[in-house]
This record gives sequence, structure tokens and C-alpha cells, in this order.
Amino acid sequence: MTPTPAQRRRQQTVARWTRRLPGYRLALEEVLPRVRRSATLSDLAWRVFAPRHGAGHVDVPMRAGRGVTGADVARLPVVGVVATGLEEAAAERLIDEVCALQRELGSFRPLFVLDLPLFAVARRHDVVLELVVPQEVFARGAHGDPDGWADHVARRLAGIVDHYQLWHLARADADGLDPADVRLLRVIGERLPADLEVHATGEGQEHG
Amino acid sequence: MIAGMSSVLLLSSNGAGMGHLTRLLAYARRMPPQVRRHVVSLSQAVPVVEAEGLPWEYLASQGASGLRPAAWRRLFAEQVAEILHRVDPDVLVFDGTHPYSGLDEALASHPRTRAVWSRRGMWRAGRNADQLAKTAWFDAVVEPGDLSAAADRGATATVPEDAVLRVPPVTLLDPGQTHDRADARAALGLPAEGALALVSLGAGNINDTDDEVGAAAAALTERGIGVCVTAPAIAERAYAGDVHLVRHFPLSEHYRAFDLVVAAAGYNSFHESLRLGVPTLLVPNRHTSLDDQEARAGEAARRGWALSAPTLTSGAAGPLVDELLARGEQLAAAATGADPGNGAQAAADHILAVAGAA
Repeated sequence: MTPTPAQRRRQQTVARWTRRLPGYRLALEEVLPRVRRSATLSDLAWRVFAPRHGAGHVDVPMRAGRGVTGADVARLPVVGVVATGLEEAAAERLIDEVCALQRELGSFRPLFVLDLPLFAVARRHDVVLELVVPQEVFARGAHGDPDGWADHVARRLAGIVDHYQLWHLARADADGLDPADVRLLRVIGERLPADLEVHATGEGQEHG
Repeated sequence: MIAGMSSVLLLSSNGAGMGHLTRLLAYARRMPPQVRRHVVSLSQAVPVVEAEGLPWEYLASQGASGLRPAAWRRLFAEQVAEILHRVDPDVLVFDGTHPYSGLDEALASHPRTRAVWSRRGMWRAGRNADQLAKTAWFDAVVEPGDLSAAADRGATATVPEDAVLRVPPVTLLDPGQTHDRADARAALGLPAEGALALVSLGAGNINDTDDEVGAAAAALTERGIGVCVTAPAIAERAYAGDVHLVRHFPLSEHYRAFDLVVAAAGYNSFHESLRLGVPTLLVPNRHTSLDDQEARAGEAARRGWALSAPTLTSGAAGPLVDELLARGEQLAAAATGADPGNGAQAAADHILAVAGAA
């Protein structure tokens, strides 16, 4: 379940308190890495705690978008949508279309990676917008090596995939999402756990 | 870095309003043109930097991302480190009252870059003192001064003089850099004739006199004064009165368009209004987490630089507007007379001196 602000404050208090415990640094920097390197202890941890993975199992607090609601929205898979070099109208249309798909399916949370600051559009849908530097701006040289744009985008995407725990990274162009990605988004719902409390606001659908 | 050129990375926190970004631009404007300046901001207002001709980048804040704070900090650290490696600045200037954890890791990953903390004072008493320990992350601290510094009871007020460079209050513009009244009104699309007041009190309901914005607008309208607001949502909802939406950055360029200002007492709007000599009625925002607007506004009122009131509702607005009309010029003259001048140049010079050590 997505924690409430009060629960989040409690979690932060406990985290602060834990970090101040004697031996915290030792446990973090010495003991835990050794446990992780031990095949036997790692296997034991997997058996006991059965870490969850896969669509609908991983809890990632993040702006969910207005297309979904429910206690378990933080468990909906996060799907990155990357599009660069689009005209503003095409980029806005892309956000609208993906968010409409979310409202229809209720099975994913989009995160947009664009090179246009369409903050108002993102706020309208309550979705996350991450920006990369536009290629033609980068080529002017004020952002580092003028030939380094592809590396800049790659590094930015790598961090986004990692920290937002993306389930999939979809590509889009002026015509919208790649058709293969649309098909993939349409089948995510089949993989979600039956007990997931999520409603698609567009269709009144519920998984679980 | 290109040989012989200083390179400065200006990093602003999210915050409320445009204060952090505007302060950094005040420094940037006062650096020689051959200095390479690069803006990175967590504020979604950052595209305004384009008009300054400076390259900019946006990083989503923790609030904008919705990520867990710990996850966001790791992402932020990586993104800042990527920028540092790519842009390779001589100095990074962070403007904010809360240097994010992760900034230290990013700086450590690129040790060539020096770091300066631009940190305004006037913190609420007893708040945020733990952040001062983060001074250790920086090579220097610059404190943009406050006209109301005498009333500062916050944690930064007691920092020893040798640990911080205190400069006079920083604003983007100096008094001589504003457009005259006619040009300013034309640029903003405002009527050439008649009295106009800028009402900048945050979000509010302009039609409801139980609301600060609504109370101000009603009192001004009753006295034949047009109301200018900066928020489209407020202007769109107005169903009565002479209400104008003004959209320009920096709006202070056009402050001479206004005969009066009714504003909250945030650092920027406070110092812009007083420095630029516009008769001002302050309504401090009491709900800020750190910025002690009540102290700032109270000191200004005590010194006779502006009027201050805790609220404009319950019939308070009318008499205050009357008093501002009667005494405004006198208050504004006292404020400009007490102004020690813009500290932006001294801050910029200090930043470049730190950059020179890189």
C-alpha cells in the first residue's frame, strides 16, 4: 500500500533513529556486504523473505498519474516513455495519448523522458516528466562535448531506469508510441496480481 | 573547461516562487561575458533562463517525482555528478536553505570543482540549524543580506563573520535598470492611465473578501485602483473589478507600471518592492516552514519602510490601502534611503574568486 503522509513521516523518523544507532555504519558497510557475498546467507534470505519482483509486486512510490487510483497504485509497473526531437504539439499529444491509455487500462504508471519542458501538461495528468537536453542545443557546445549528446541521454536514462525501477522503457516518435509498445502495455494487466487494489479512473476497472 | 575561461554552474533548489533562481541570475548577470554560466534547477520555472541566453537543465525535485526521499537523493546525486563531469565547472553555486544529501557525493565525485553556498538568512528561530553542518561541503558561504536583518533571530544570524561573506541584499535589478512607467505599462499590456496595484499574495480567491487576495482586490477596486495579478488562475476567476494578468520575467523590470504593491514578504518581492521604491503593503505568509516573513515585514514597518498587516480580511484592507495612498511615497523614500545597494556584484566577484582557486 502507498503510505500516507503520516506513515511516511513515521518511516522517516524510524530511518533517522536507525541511522543514529551505535554500530549502524559497521553493519551497513561491513556486515551487510559480507552477507550479500555469501551464497548460503543470500539463499536463506531469499527463502525466508521471498523478495517480490515482477509487474505489480514491487512497491515504487512515484506520481501515479490521474488515470489510476486505489490503495496499491505504488505497485503498478512504471513504464518510461522516451521521445526526443518532437515538435511541442506532437509531444503534448503523446502525453495525452499515453495518459488516456492509462485511464483505459489502469495497469501502469507512465514516466516521460522528453527534451521539451511541458511541465503544465505533465501537471495536468499528474505524471513525472524528466528532461534531457535537446540534441540541437547540446550540439552548440555549452553542455559539454558537442558530440556527447547520445552519452548524456544514455546516462540520464540509466539513472531513471534504475531509480524509478522501470518495468519497461518504451520509445515514441511524432506518430506516438511504437505499436509494439502499445501492444505490450495492453497485456500488462494480465500479469498483475489478482489482489491488487487499483482502479482505472477512465473505465472503472479494477484489478483484484 | 575552455582554457582561460571561468566556468560557473548555478544550481537552484525548488523552493516556493522564483527566489532561488532569481538570485542566481542576479549573480550570473554580473559576471563578465566570457565566464561560462550554466544553470541547473529543480524549479519548473527554469525555462525563463533561456531569455538570459544561458544554457539550462532541469532536474525533477523529490516532490515532482514522488519518489521516496532516499531513492530521489541517489538519483539527484547521480544526475548532478553527470552534469559536473560533462560541464566540468570551476565552481558550483547552490542557492537554497537545505543542501540536499547527495550534493556532497556529487561534489566528491568531481573534486576539481569548488563549491559555494548562497544562503539567505531570516530563518525562523530554532529551525533548520542542523543544515549549518553542511557548510563543510562548501568552500565558501555567501549570505545575501536582508534589509530587515536586525530582526533576524534565525540560526544563520549568529554565524561568525569570518565564516561567511555577508553582502547587501541581492536583487536581479538595480534601481536604474527598470523601464519607465509608460514603457512598462505598454510592455505588460496595461492601461496607460489610472492607478494600478500589483497584488502578489500567492494563490487565492479574488472574489472572496474573506480571502487575502479577494480582500485586497475589493479594497483597491472600491478606490478606483486597478488590480494586477501574476497568477492566471486568479485572473480567470475574477468576475468583477478591473483585474489584469501580468506575465513577464523579471517582472521587476516593469515595477514602475505599478503605483502600489500588496505582497507577501518573501525575500525577493520584499527587496524588489522596497529597493525599487514602490509604496508597499506587506502581508507576511505565516505558513512558510523556514522563511520568517513576519519578522521581515514587522521590521520594515517598524523602520517606516512599508506597511505590514497580518491579514487584510475582516475589513482591514480598506484603511490600510487608504494609509498606503496617503503615506506610500514617504515610506518608499525611507526604504530607498536605507538601502545599502545591491550585493549581487560583490557575491559574483567572490564566486569568481573561489572559481579561480579551482
